[in-house]
Amino acid sequence: MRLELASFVVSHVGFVNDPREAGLQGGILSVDRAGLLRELRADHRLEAVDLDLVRPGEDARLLGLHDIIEPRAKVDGPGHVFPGVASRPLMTVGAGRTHRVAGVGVAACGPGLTAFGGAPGWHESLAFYLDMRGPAALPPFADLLLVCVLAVPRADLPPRERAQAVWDAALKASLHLADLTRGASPDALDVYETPAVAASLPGVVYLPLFSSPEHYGGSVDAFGTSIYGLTRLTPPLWLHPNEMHDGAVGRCGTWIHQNHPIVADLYRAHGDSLAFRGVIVQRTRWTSEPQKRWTAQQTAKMARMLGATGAIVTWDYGGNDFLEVAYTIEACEAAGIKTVWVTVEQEKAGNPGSLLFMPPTADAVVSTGGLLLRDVPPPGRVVGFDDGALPPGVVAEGDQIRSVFGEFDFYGLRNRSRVDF
Amino acid sequence: MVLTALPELVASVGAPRIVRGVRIEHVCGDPSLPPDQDRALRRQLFDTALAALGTAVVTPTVFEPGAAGHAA
Repeated sequence: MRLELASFVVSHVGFVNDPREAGLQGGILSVDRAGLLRELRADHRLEAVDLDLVRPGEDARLLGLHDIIEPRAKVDGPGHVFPGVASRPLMTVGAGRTHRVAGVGVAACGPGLTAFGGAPGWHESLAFYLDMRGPAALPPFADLLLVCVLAVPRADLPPRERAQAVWDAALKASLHLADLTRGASPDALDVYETPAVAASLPGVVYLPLFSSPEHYGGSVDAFGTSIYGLTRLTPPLWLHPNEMHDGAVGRCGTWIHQNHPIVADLYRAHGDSLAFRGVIVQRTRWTSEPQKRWTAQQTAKMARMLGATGAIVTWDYGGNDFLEVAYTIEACEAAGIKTVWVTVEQEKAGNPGSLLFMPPTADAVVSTGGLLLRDVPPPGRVVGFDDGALPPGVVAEGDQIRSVFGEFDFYGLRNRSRVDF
Repeated sequence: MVLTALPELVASVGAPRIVRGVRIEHVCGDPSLPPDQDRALRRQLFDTALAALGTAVVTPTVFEPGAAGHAA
């Protein structure tokens, strides 16, 4: 599998009225606002759509944030940059040439639901936010030029349809922006392939665990992290690292998965200090202990069969998802695979923390810390939707605290060693 | 006495009597069953819990609903 990732660096995004002026020139992305809105408004699931722009450093807050997506386009080779999502072609990705618009994100904003759930009685959390200035301007997201898609789904639709409609609008906008790079020459070109390496190098696998709210949200594709379009609980999947780089995983922080720091680091080390044997993706929040052991043991077996002697484990939620993490670490260590667990330390006051117990073999744990922001000044302007529970300018009141998009740094986007703290 | 879908975890923190429940998201019954079967299941769980409370234990003990004599 050989993937060429062509980067187009954008330093400014603006809307234009004349569609002939749309394009990418000298780092300036000019977007045909009316044309894009026409495209998005064609979705009958949406009652209203609007577009806005926010810049790093601007005194602005995004509210009701579902996702942030890096605009990408597949210009050569098989597949689609959002494979299997909302009727887009389902084909293994990670080969050919993909364009990415560097420095830009499309922010999916919608009322009511969050990306992780929304069925009545489950996860009625406060709207996620992101500030472009101040303590809640979290890198890397607040460093992006954000094209905000403000999508209001029809109220009579079930939660699944509403969530899908909001996300789909942002995906369409991402594709529209990325299409403006066709024909232009990139600022950088990275080639990803995994040639055979010296047999003496230790095999390492990356084991990300993604929570699936299938039993809570009542959907197989609308809530939680999406793998080739499915969010449901599935057995472990073996992915080539290129699949991670080329859109196989998305939805809860699509931008993060498109620019995954751990996959990138393991790739850089491939052939040098290790042999990157791939990514084994698991789902968590299975409904019983035997099921949780089932996925962990299959993963450890696959890792051993792939010749791994080392593994990096991550997760993306909390609560009983911890059991899958613990069982995975135990099963890998029992199979002779040294594991390192990279995790956040849980956060909200009164919450006892993520570590329900500590498996004796989990002796190598990297903490990316925790984040609890209460004293965040109100912004100059708010873009998006509030939930009515707190005023839009307020992020914390008593027990109610809004979450900042990306506050749980599961993958080490920010602090990666104690030196960084 | 703890009724839970995660009996190993609960045993590891030392709860003396543990009854295995149905699933994490609905521990005390099964809404996928027809109502009368769900009610029978809930009754069985309750009876197991009551029997567990009346059983002397030394170490954390998991009681399986429906097993003869109850204690696993």
